Amino acid sequence: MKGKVLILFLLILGCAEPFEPNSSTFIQAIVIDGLITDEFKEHEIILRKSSPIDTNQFIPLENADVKIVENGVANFVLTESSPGRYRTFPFQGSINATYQLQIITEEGLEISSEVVTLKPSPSIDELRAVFNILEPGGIRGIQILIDTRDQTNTNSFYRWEYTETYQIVAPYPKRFEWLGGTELESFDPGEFRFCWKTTGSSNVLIGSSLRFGNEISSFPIRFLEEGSPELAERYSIEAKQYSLTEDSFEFWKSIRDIGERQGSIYDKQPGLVIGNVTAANGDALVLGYFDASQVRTERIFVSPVQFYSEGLKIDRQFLDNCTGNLDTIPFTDLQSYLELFQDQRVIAGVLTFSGSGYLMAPLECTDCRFQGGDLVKPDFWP
Amino acid sequence: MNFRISLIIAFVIACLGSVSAQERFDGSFTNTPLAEVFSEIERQTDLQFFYLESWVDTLTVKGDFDNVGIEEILDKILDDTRLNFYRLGNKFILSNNSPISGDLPANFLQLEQTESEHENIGYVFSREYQSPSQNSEKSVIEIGRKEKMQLGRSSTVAGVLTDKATDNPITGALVFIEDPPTAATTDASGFYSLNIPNGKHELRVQFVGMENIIQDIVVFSDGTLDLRMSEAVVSLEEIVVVSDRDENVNQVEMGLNRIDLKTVQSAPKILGETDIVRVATTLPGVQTVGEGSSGIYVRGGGVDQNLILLDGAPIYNSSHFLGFFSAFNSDGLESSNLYKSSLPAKYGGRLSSILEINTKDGNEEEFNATGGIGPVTTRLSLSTPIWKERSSLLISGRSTYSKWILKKVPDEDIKNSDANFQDVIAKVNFRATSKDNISVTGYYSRDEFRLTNDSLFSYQNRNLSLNWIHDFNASFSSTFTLYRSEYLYKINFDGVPENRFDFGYDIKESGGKLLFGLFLGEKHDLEFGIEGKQFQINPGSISPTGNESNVTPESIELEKGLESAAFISDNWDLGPKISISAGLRYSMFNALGPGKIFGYLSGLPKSKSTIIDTVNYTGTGSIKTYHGPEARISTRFSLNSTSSLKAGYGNTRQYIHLLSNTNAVSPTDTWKLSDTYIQPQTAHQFSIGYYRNFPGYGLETSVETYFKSFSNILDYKIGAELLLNEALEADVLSGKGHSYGIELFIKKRTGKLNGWLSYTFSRSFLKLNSPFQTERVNDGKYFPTNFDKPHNVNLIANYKLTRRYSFSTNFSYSKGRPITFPVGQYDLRQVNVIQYSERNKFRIPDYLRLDLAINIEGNHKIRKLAHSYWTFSLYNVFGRDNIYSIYFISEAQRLQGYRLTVFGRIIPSITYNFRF
Repeated sequence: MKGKVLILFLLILGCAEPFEPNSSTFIQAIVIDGLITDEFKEHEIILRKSSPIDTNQFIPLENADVKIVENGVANFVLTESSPGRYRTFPFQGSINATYQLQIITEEGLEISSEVVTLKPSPSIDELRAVFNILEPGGIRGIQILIDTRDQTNTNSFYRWEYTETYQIVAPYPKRFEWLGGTELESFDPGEFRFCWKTTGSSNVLIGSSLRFGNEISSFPIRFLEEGSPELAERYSIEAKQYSLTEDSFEFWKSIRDIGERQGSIYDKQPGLVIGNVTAANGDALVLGYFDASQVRTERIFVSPVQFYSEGLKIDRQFLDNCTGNLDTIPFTDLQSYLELFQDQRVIAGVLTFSGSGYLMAPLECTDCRFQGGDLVKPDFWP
Repeated sequence: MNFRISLIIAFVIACLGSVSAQERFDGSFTNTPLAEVFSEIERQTDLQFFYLESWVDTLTVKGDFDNVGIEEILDKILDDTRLNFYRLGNKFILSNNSPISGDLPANFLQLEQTESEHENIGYVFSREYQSPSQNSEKSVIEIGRKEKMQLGRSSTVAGVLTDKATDNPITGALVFIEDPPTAATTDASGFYSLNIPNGKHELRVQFVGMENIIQDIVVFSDGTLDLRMSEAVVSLEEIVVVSDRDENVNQVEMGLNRIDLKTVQSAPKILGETDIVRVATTLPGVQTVGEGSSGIYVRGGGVDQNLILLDGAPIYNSSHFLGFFSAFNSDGLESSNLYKSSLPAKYGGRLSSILEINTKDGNEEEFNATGGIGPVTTRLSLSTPIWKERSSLLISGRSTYSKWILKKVPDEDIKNSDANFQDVIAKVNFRATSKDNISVTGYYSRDEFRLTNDSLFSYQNRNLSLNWIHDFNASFSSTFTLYRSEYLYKINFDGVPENRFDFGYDIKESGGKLLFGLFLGEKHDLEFGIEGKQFQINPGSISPTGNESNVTPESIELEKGLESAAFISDNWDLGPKISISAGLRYSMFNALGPGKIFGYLSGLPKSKSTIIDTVNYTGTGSIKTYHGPEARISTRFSLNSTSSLKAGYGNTRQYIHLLSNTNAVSPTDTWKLSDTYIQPQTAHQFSIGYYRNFPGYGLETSVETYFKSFSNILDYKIGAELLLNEALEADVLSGKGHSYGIELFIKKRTGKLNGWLSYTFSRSFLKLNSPFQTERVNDGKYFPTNFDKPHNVNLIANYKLTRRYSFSTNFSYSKGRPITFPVGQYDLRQVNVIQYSERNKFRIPDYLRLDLAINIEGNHKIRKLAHSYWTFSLYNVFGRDNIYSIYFISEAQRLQGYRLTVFGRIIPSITYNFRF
């Protein structure tokens, strides 16, 4: 909050302009990313190297010996399922058990994590969506909030991740594909009409209930701006809640703070954030974090319609664009028309009333996949 | 010429002849004026008296004389006066303090040949020191009794300097003679004391804004000389900085800069605000981290290592508007001194510098007012006598009066935001007796802003100080200071009802100091005294506001501490060439209970999870004590009358720390006392300097070099939370530092063109090492501090074109400050994370700025209702985009860099000022 207030002040008399950082000073580090949960699954540890500042790419650390020690005795050896990704056999982490990650790289570097305890996590009280106007700026939209209460008063620090899915509808689905000459392939009207797009959270979502009576109330995990594609049709979000120790909370807070620097001289001093993994030999820089927690999940569905009464407006621009760009052509002009538009137009229908012909529509209006969707309906979708 | 005059006088005396027979006289007098007595004698006898009326008009005679010899009577009645007599026949010639001898000096013939020999005859004739053109009676002032004069010895001349118009004492004026170079500065009660060889001198007194005094004096023995100065009418037109000419060469102190308010007021302004701290940053060895940052860094020392004293009371936040403006309204200020090395032993508690700011005394004669209107604030100062010629009141206030800057911004959020500040200085001055001067100063400043809809932020300084100066006699004086300083800030969050809270922090300091000054002959100038400071800090408390809030009230335990010190220093003249100033200060700090101390698992880095026990101290006694000596030594060796070499050493201790893990000071930074884990900061400084003046050109030059080392400097783990943190020691790192540099300074005090040019080369480094990786920065090696800017050039110049128009300019160049730069990136749980370089491995681009200002006076009639002048300033004339900061944000899985510039264009402003 402090940084935000102060940057506003600086902006009064200053201005910030973007520039491309150069990568001439790249220093490569080994990054460990691992989490053991109480889910029954193949747990994955990712070993990678950091990439230069101008390109974010996955540089795997291959052929390492990776194992996880449970309660100081049991060893789970991991296998590299794909470059840099190491998996356990399917197992379920036990609450209050301890885990330690031990790695020996191809070059003989021995890396180990601190011993972490799989912390229990209270269940999510409620995951809910409300209509909200964000101040300052008066940005309207749907706010997804999370409420959690720890009845045992043992846990105060949380981290959340979410996975969101929304439905995409093509308003004028493709009915025919021209195969040349007079040959047309026909499709079911529903075939390219419905898609689903799924993405995950990519920011640090952490909260502390330390000063709030061990209660997290109305923690905002996602804001959907009015008019965004997520709010065009139906939307669903699944939140995952993990418990953190105070040390791991501080680690994630540091990660969040250095990523949210606002550029004022009142920013916190940035620097290298060191996690809980260290190399026993060699002078390689090792970054990243290994921890364990119980997972609690909650999913809700949001239909924008339910917020119309509160003032949410639907964005009709895409639909209007499609409708406004429809063409009606005589059957005989199909070939010359399609040659002219070079795969940008698709037959969205056959008109038989008021003079017959083809209804031609732009590609993105006829196939939901052009908006980034996937035709496969997720299992949880009703 | 002396030779000729003495010859003539000697000749006249030689011709006077011998003494006549005694006459007898009867008479009885009771407080009869001396002139009447002479008339009576003349009536009764045929004797005649020759004298000036003004010599005798205050003298009276009391006593019965019955047939007494005239000479016996005269011996008796003139005994307690400055008058002497000489009889010439039946004529009695009275002389004022010049015994006339009828005898030729034994070596009269030699006297004719060597002009200097006259000093050996035992008598001095005041006229011989008069230049022919100055023959008015008052042009030579005689000090002491002629009979007591011992040639070749020195005497003490002391007195009080006052303003002729207001009778107020003038503080900080320079009283000096040129040969041998001897100077003194008047203290707060206007008192000065000079030890100068007996004989004739030209005494000069200089003070900014006043007419110089040039007074011929003849010193016979110890004596007093009170002086009165008139305001220089021409001070409106000329910015003459002459108050301490030659002081830089002659004083023993090193690294001392006086900041003259006239220079501050004529320097180009930013948004119309005069700013004493901003001018201080143009002095050599003083750095800032960027535009809009109030904190100063002196010779590699951190921002908390500067003690800012306003009439003796420390100021904890010296800025308004988050650092864009200084917290002091310059209309209420008189002068300012910045000590960078050779900190006087009477000051302590901070490592690097003392910025002493003195407020103005009110006018004891008549009411007057000054004020001004600028783009951001409007100012008004009122001064009035309370008890004419004894006591006065000054009130000087400033307030923002419009939000137009905020309204100018196209951004809706900022348009609707709110920011305002006010400050006021009030001072009562009371000259209780000629030896006692008492003043009480109050200071209050307040800032408030709401920049987002959900939080209101405010901070305040509140200060009160009492200063009582008492002069026991010409060589012994005391200053008694009592003060209370408070700084507090509040955050009122009124966003989501469930999370509404008030957060508050405050520090309160009360202190007292008793300081004695003692002149021991001509060789020693002693200062000694004791000092005590009591601190109470509320490190932070949070409480819910509103019924819906579920914020748990929480407050961190109060911190209390006591700092005490005794000090003594001596300014010792070892001869005309060498002076030594040596001081010793012994300071002690007690962290006081009640308090809670955490115990940590040994062998592991301190963290919340390694706390193993908690010790509660319930009493109010001392939990932890630190103490140690602080030595302050500097010496001056005069090479000749215009140049000197100086060397100094000083060590300092500091028991209070500013917790700040941001690049610059921010109003939410908090002060913390030393405790069980956080040890006092200490520093050692060695410095050597060469000083040379070119009087013919009005130039002063100096070269100073220094080396400084620091211990127990605080730093923080990355991302450390400093507010509401009970176990702060777990987030704190402690390290060593050192800095060194060379400072070149050229100052032109007089003439149409005046100002200064400085160049500084300086480096400063810090080392944070520990057995644990999480407590190491840059692998435990030395790295440059945030304010390590090796090259700095600053120019402040004023040019007086005509009586009405003057120009001033400020040029500033510095090497870019160090920053920590991203060197890579990686994903962790789908979060894009920036991998930063080692601390401060890179630099932002160099800083370059030129400002111009023109001051236009109204007409120059001395008597008119109000004087007024306009100031037009252009800030950053080149419109250069000085990079303020470079930062990076992860946007949609990739790293975007931003360059932030502040004032990246010309900022014009107009200020209207008046006084009446």
